[in-house]
Amino acid sequence: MAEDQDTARERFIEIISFHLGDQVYCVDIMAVREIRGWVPCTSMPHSPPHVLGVINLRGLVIPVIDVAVRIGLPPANPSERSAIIVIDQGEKLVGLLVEAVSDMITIKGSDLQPVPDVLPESQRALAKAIVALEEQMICFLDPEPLVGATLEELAA
Amino acid sequence: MKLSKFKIGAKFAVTFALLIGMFLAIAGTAFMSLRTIEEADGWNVHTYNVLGHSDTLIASVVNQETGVRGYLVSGDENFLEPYIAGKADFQKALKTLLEITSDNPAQQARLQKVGQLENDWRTEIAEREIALMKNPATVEQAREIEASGAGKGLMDALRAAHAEFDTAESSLLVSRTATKDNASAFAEWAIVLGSLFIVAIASVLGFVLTRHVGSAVSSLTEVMRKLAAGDNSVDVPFEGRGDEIGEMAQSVLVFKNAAIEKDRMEREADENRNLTEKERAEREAAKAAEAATLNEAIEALAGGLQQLSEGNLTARIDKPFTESLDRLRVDFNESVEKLAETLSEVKVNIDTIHANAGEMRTAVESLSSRTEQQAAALEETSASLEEITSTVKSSSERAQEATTKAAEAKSASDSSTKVVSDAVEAMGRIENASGEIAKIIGVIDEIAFQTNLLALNAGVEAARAGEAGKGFAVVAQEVRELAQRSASAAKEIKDLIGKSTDEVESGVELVKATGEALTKIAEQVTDISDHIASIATAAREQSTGLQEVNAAVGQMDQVTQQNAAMVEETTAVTHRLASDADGLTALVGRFTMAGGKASASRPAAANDENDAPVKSPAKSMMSKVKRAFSGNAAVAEEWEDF
Repeated sequence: MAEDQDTARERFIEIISFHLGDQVYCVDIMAVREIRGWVPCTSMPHSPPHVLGVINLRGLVIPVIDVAVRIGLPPANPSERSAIIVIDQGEKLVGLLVEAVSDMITIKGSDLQPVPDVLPESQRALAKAIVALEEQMICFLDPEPLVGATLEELAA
Repeated sequence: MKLSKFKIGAKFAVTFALLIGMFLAIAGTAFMSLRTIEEADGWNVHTYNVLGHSDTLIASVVNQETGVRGYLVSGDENFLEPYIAGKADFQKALKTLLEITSDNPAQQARLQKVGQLENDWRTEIAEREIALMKNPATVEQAREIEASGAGKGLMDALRAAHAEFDTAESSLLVSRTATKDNASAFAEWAIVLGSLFIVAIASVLGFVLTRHVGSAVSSLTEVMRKLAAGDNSVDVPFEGRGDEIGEMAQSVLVFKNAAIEKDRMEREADENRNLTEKERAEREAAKAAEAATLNEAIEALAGGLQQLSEGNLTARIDKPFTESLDRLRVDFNESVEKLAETLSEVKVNIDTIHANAGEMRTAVESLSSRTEQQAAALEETSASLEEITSTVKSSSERAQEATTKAAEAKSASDSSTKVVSDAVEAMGRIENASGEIAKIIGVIDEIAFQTNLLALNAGVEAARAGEAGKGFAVVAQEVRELAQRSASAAKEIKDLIGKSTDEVESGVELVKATGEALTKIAEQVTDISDHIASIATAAREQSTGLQEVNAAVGQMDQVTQQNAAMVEETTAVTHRLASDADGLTALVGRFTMAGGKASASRPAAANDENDAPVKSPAKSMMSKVKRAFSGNAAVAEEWEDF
């Protein structure tokens, strides 16, 4: 029963989907701390191209990463409708700049399909799975490598 | 005698002027003498006045002397009063005398002397004595002076001077009296002698004038009486005189000559009366012979004239008359011959007239028919004109209406322009409102976005809460959906507003285009209005022209009527001419001519033709015209008149 329940729990995953260009991506809702509207970032010296800078989140300074640049797309053009998804990395909080937060979707585990094996490992680690829904395909991003590398770089 | 040259009036005037001049001379002389006497009298009075004052003068001197002497004797000063009074009187009298004798220097000198002596006496004697008398010690001294006779000597000299003055004055008196007497005597003599002379001259002149005028008049009167009695042998006197008597004498002479001429004429008349009696017998005999020849000629002439009166133009007198009367016969024969010739020519002419009358009749007939045609054509013209007039009038009215309509269209387009601009404004307002709405929608969109974010956050929180947050997650989902719906609604509204703004813009463009089109229409309407106005003007001008044409047609109508009347008259005249020609033929036919009796058959034949009751072509034309114009009563009446 417990396993069933667990299975059942496993089976339903809540995700936050967002747009980058024409493509739709998503992250696990459990990794999200909060979502907030776009505010201009204070840029940091010698930061890599995908790090936009830092913002003040209720007294806490957190870095903001341009996800588009991070995953190899042209840089996002931030507007009023852009949003920053704050990811909770244990102790640290990192903001992800996305073009628009589109939806909060509950998907089944079975909807998740593995990423095809066409990329090197380091690259492939960014996309955890592909959510294949009837109307659209969503790339399920793993925030840990996205953010972790960044943090490492920052730390370095 | 020279006197007779002057007029009687002049003679009388000279006479009386002479007498009046003499009288005036006498009167002047007497007047001058009287003036002299009066003047002398005036001077006498003056002299008496001088003498009076002279007496006063001497009396005053005496008084002074008496006063002084009385004082010397008595020593009483009261005796001096005459002296004081006399001194004043003397001065006064002397002064008066000097004044009134100022014209005589000799007398003045004498008076001065008297005055000087009196003064000497008074200062040297009288005053000294009076002064000495006042002092009792010197009384005797004063009396001695008096006794010495110095005063008396002065007084005597004074009296002598005074006497000289008086004498001179008196001598003036005497000389004046002599002058007065002389003047008086001269005046008397002048009056007496002058009067006598005037009487003498007047008598002489009166006698001369009476003889010169009166006797001449009476002798002329005698001559006239004789002339009146028939005595023409008398001589008329005074005819050479230059005065009125001379003129009278000349007139009497004219009378005399007239009487002599009258006598002569009477005598000549008597002589003429006696001459005629002798010749009468000779003349009687000659006349008897003459009468016989004359009778014969008269008989022959009477016979010829008798034949002529019967119409026989072949009559001639062949037997010659006496030499003096034969001309009558020849003239008669020639006259008859000429008459015959003339009549035969007349006959020929009458035939020609007949022929011409026939031609005229034909011409008049064709004229009549043409006049008829003309009248019909005129009628048609008149009808056409009426139609044209009404057409022009209606076109004029249409043009008027069109003008009104054009004006209305213009005002409508003007008001449309305003509507267009209003519409443009309204569109602008719609745009503004759309902008406002867009702003609001933006706000709503923003709110929806924020709400969405909030709902997402709520969802995140709910997910993190796990099982406990399930219900909240549902609510958050609902809110998120609402937010999305409102966002999408806002987006739709935004699109709609964008569309409507575009529509409004295109609407504004369209409305502007409409406005421009309307302005063009207004301009064209104005052009149309101008054209219509010129059409109306043209119609008016046409109307005027038509009126003129109407008038012309009316005149033509009148002329046609007159022509018809003339045709009628001409027909009548042609008939009369024909009948007159017939009459002439009949008259000429009464004469017998050398070529036989003149034919009367031809005119009769002509008459037969004309006698047929042919309807006058003019009349028939007129009846037709009358029918044609039967609509117009006035015209009908006028035609009736014809």
